Amino acid sequence: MAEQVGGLITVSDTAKLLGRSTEQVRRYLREGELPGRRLGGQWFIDRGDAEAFLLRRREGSDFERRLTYSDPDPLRDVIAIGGSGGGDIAAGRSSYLCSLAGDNLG
Amino acid sequence: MTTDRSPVADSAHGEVPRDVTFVDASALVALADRDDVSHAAAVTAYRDLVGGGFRLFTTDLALAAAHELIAVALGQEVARSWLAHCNILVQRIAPADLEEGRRAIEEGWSAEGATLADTIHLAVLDRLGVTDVFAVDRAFLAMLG
Repeated sequence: MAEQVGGLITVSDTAKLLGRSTEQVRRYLREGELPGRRLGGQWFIDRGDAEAFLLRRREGSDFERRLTYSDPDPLRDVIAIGGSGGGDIAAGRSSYLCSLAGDNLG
Repeated sequence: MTTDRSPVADSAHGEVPRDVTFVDASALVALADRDDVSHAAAVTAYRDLVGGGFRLFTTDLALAAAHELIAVALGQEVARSWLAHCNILVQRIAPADLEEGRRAIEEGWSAEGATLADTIHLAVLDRLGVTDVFAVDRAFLAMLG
């Protein structure tokens, strides 16, 4: 992979790194999804930015796959599993715990 | 109770489907605590989400926060059982989420009253391109707008 001065790489090298076409890389650049800079009419991308972009895409794909196979009703067995005696979690964690101070927290 | 933060699913974050909802710690607690003021509304919202085919996930941070609250409010045994039977997908917080959340607090550009957990979760949602949130915490919901 032909790296440029200062860790900048070309659109072509970025496309190889990401496993995408050069046109897709240019689209990411135009839409601001991938940071880049134009030098002499040509796009250059910081290698670190390209690697971070790749990592985000991989994590996104992994997340999607795990979602697909996740339990569609994951909390059915923990609904109403216990009782606080009258908490109000909508008011925030501190308020929730304070509201219990006279009961569970003794 | 639930909010859609933005209509945009960002292509840079992969093709995360639209029908995905982040469940925060307050919603987990409200569902578990049958005596909580928001319990009935939370159960209704949860059933609507599940019935609507939404896929739910939380984070390791929110799971731990909910477990702590449940342990204190409902007792250690209930908390243990809750953890054993809570089958929700857990997404890990990334180092970049923590850094972004810290910056939001340290540099003062987070919403007033926002906690570090709140700003970290905003970073997670942005990273994953998730726009729907199931929460009952009024401060967190206000942050989301």
